[in-house]
Amino acid sequence: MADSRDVKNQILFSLLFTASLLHSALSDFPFLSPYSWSCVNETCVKNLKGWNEEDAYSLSTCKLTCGQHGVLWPKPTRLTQISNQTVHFNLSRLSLEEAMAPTQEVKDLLQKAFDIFKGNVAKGVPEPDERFFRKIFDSDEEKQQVFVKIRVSNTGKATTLRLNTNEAYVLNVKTNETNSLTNVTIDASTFFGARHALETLSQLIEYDAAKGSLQIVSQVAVVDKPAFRYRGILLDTASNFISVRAIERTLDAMAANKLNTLHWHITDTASFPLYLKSLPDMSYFGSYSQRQIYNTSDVSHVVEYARVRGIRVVPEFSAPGHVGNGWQWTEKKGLGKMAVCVKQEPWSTYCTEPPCGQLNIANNNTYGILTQIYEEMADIFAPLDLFHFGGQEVNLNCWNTTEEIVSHLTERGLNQSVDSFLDLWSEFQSNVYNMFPADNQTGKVQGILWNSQLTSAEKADKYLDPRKYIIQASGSVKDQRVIGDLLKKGYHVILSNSDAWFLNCGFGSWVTKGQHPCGSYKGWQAVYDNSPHDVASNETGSYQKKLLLGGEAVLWSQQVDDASLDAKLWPRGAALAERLWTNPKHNWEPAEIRFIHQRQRLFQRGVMADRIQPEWCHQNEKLCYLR
Amino acid sequence: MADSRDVKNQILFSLLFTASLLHSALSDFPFLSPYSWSCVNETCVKNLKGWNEEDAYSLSTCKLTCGQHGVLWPKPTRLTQISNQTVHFNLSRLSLEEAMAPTQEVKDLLQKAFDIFKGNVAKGVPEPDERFFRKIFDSDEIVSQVAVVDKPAFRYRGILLDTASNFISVRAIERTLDAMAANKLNTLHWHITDTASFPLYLKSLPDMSYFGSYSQRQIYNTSDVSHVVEYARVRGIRVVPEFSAPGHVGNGWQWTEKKGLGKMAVCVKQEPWSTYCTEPPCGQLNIANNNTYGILTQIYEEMADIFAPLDLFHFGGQEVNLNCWNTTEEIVSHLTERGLNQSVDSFLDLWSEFQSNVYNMFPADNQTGKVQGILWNSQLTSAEKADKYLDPRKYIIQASGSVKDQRVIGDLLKKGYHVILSNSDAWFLNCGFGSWVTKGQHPCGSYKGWQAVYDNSPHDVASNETGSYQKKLLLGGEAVLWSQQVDDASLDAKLWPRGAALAERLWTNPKHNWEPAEIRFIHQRQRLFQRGVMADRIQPEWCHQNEKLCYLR
Repeated sequence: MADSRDVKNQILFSLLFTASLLHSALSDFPFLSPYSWSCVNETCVKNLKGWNEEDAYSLSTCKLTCGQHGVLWPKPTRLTQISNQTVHFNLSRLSLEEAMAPTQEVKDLLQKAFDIFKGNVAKGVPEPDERFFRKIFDSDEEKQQVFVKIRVSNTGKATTLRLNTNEAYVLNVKTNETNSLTNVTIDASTFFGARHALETLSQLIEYDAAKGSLQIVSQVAVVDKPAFRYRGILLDTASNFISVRAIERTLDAMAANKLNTLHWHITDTASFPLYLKSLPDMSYFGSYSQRQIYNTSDVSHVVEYARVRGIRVVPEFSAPGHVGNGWQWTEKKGLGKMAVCVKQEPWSTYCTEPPCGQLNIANNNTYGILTQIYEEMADIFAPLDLFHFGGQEVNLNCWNTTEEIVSHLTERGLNQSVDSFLDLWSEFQSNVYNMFPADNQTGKVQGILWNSQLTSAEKADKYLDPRKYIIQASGSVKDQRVIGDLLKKGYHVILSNSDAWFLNCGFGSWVTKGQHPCGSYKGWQAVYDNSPHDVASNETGSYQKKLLLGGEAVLWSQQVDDASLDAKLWPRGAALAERLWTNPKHNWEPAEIRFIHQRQRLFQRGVMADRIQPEWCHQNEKLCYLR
Repeated sequence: MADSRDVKNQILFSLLFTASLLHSALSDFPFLSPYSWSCVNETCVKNLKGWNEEDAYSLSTCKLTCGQHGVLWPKPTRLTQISNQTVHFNLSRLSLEEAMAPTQEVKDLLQKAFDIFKGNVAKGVPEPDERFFRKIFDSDEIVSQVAVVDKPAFRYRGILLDTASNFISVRAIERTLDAMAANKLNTLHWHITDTASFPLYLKSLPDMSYFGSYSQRQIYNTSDVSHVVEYARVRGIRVVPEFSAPGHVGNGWQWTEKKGLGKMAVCVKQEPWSTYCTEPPCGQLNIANNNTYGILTQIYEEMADIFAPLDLFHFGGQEVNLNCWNTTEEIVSHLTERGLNQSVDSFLDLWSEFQSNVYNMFPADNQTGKVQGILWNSQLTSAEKADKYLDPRKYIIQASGSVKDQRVIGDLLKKGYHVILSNSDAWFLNCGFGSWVTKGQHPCGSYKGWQAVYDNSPHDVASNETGSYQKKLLLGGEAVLWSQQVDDASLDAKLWPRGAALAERLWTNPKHNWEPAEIRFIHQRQRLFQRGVMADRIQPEWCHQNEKLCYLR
């Protein structure tokens, strides 16, 4: 506020300060706030101070212990015991006393995760402003220490996340009043479980404005493991460029919600922002500008930034559709045309949105270039356990109107039927699957494909082996039974149904006036209530726990860049996270209070998560419902 | 990018730099970009470099001179002549040679505006990064010959900011004013208090914000208000404060009973809220308590003082729930005492009496004299009641209904009211983000795309409803951003660039729809983003680089 700004510019700071206070809001009052909160029936109730003082807390401290799950997000699945006491938490007296791990590498990861945890807790402390600092806590409280011990079991050597990685953990907090010591113990099978425990721990600590200090719940026991193995977010950096700094923020927010997969849709028809050392022409011709390119070091940085936060990066290379910019150079170099239908008009005849473009799968040189692309991607994104081959929205009419491809069909004695084109496409898919290199650490990389004509009930058997591909299902579950069909055929499935988990919907069309084709904005309540088990059960009569790997929220970025990325992903991504981690039996309603708090937490940590309610609802729990 | 970050941490910067370049994207190529643009039929067309080199420019330079109005936003109304040449623009060799003005005060304002202009231009220059520095004059360009004659179509071109449903920081308000200035919008309607919170510090009534703010960090001090008013003024913007009354009142008034003044806000936190107001929390002024007027006098006097100079003041008058009063014993007794029954008309009489009282108690401005009032349309402004209750010479009416369902605007104009258009079906920018009290859609419907914001013509609305453009009575319009689902995090993206679409409608009032404006509009969004306003993206960047190829025909 301006008072403070002005004062800071003065040399005689301390002298002037008292004078300045006289004109500020607080000078006339005895307390920082006239209100306190007390926990009644698992609800923090706001009161004027002075009433029932014994049981009166500031809002954040009340929330820490009120309600069975406090302000933990996502809610633990096995056991949550939270005492109704908090104690002082001195960031300067926090130490990692023990990090037991089978290898030095895992130990180093634990140290990194601990440092990140400390940084997150520090972000909860508001900027110091002497005007709001009344109480000085006593010296006993200042002595309060926190010792953290982390034990990863002997078998937990994993340093990269796989689909079978055990992410479970046990967290205990025990405070001994007599020696001012809080002991935190974390037990996990892997680093990944242990780092989740640190996220949970960070949610047991809050800044108390009245006390002017952090508080930690004094006694806690949590036993936790995720309901689903794959909990993802799709980031599209091709429709518009997203800076590395914004990707970091996305990973910070994902980690805070125990999401474990960043699906990086890195290229598309519109742009090719990925620098490849073996093919520098791709990004030279394909990026929006030279400032909008991910260099090799950027990619490595993102992969490592994600890994220490318990997140795998799954790169997607869109093919054979959604290809165009970046391929302009091949003809001049004598390799023929590799992308066809690019900028063809009217676009609506050749693709679902401008600009159009598909690979020329009749040109044999295309495979040579793809080999180079896959090899370098496998290298810079290593270690890889999953790779997304795309396979989305192939427009058969584009190929059917491209002379080179029609001739190719004729040469091979095929007609121009839909089946011929699907044969060609599946042949392409089979080729690229085979040419994709194995990972040094993880071996053969598992493929992911979008659902498509190749995955339809009638065609899938013929074209795609369920042992090779996981299918990401993006249709609306209201209109189609795509997910059921896939599960019945034995595919592993990632749910991304557009009617609940497409977060880019609702901002209007960008090619004409009116609504976006994917419909209205998906409110957080709809995101939360979208249950993969229910969808599977409705369509197949079973939860399909083995085949249903999890889900992913999708943010196509035609109307997103650094400006609104955070607000469009968050806090709705947090609603997704609790669905996939906790998979609660209840709907959004019992989650609302914790959800608003999680939004505040993300905002405090620098993520520009959108506001979902007036702050009044945060301060007056359970009074913002329509009944 | 990471290369650059890493390198910056090294001591041997210059030595290492060359090595780093070998691994960066540009080392293998002769140009910064393989593309250039040329102007064909008022469209910048993208080409591979080397073709038609004479007429080839970088994208931004092409856009400066291609098209009748270049990248001017809002489009000038009288005359725009832009040559097809640009010359180098050296920020360091720019000077204000002459500032002729009738008074020193105006001269000082001109100097301040010039400094702001320089700052804005400087923001257009990207951060230096040696990897991308090839040309020696990689600087700004300016169009070489220009003539513009311009004046706005409407006098009142506003944005409503609601800082009560959620708090908005002073820094975020500054950004809003920066963006408004860049779009020649001239009015910030500051809906500063509401039932949910009272973030305004009043020296005469410190209890209001002590009890009514969300926290002590979420208060506008007197110096904050003065700062905003002055920041706005030098950018050509008036601030119109709104003090909501008699509805939308609650938090901040908790202290009056303890001080022996009786209850001043009623129905606060009453449940179920939907019986007593349109959204939680409920609350209305206790207009049966005479002390209420004493406090309101203090509030108005201090507001008139800290927001001075004032030419317009918004009295609120929105969404008064008669059932709240009708179920409040104190108010019902008051009616009985005065021999009135509990009919709708009695309550409207009481309300209009209240309105008349507060209008009269509002102090005159030292500079501008009697301050003109603004009110939301309401039951008091309805066709049947308005004559009885509100004098068109005293009040401007801000009309917020949907023009699809109602003929509110026509009725008001026919009665001779000056009108500010804020129809919810086009200019409520908070719609479309889902309900915040249950699952499902927001009551005000879907998101209003920029095209709908642009096409919403006050003249057309007036003409449809009254048969005339009503140029005298129709003062202009205002986009409304209720902030139940807005704070610093998403304020910019929800206001902009859609606020720019509003701005061209109100400044230029073009005869055409959004389509011919699209290319300039995308550019205006880029400009706002460059200047630090987090305006939302509306299209893939491909559409910006490939003009006129992102249409559905």
